[in-house]
Amino acid sequence: MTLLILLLVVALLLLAPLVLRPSLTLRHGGRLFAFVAIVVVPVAAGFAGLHEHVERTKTVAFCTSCHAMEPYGRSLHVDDVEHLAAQHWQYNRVPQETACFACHTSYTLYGDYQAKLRGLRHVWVQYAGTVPSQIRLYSPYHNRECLHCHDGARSFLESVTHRPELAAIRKNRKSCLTKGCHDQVHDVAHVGSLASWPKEEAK
Amino acid sequence: MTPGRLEERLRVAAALVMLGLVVELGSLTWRHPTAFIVFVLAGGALMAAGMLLFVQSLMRREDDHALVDDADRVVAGRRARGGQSAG
Repeated sequence: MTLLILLLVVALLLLAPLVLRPSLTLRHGGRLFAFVAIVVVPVAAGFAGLHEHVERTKTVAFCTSCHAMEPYGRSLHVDDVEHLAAQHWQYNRVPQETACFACHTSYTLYGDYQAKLRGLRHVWVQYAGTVPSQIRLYSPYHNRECLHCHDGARSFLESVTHRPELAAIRKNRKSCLTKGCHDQVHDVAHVGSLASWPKEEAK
Repeated sequence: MTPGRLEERLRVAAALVMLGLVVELGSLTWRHPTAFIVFVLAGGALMAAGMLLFVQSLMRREDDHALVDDADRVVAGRRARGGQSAG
């Protein structure tokens, strides 16, 4: 971030002489300087800024900055290991800072880009559309996203409940979120009345 | 394009890019989904406009130079022909 700010400040400083004395470009080498100051450095700074913004979109703080997502953020603090999202967040099974993105991106070739496009659509709905009272996934949650981390882990493979169902789980024929398995994910309807962990951080 | 007009266009181009960079810098201090939109739509658009104006100014200047070069060639050709007929 410091480097990015520095790059943006350097880009601004390089542009200042062109705004104050554009006749510089008429001198020998002036056009090259103008090209570097107007195109090369700002493009580099722009891409660096874009990268920083894209990285920020992966954070829980970013996702929960929209009012509609606040209960989902609070559900990470529920003091009950039966709550899947809370358990993953509290036990560091996903990076705490980027927990939403870790589970809600598709682990496919263009999964990250699709997630970003969906994010832009969410911003559009926030300002120009109607935020639905109940937020739903675009498609049923795919086991691929769970298996991206869990498949191959001894705790997963040797689990007595997973072993007989491994083929069905891998082919997404039996969802990990099937009733009776891991069906308690984000209990946003009751999150306000549930105990939270850690107490001082929960809102 | 006259040098004065070219300078003015370059000044505007540099100012637009500068404004775009300031908007981008501002958006980086704000942690909100809207900041991303401001960064891309406002900052990106201002920078792109400035860069396009800069490139267009240079291209028009190149065109002007080419016209001057053509005119010089025509004049030189006429002079050469005039010299031959006189001789």
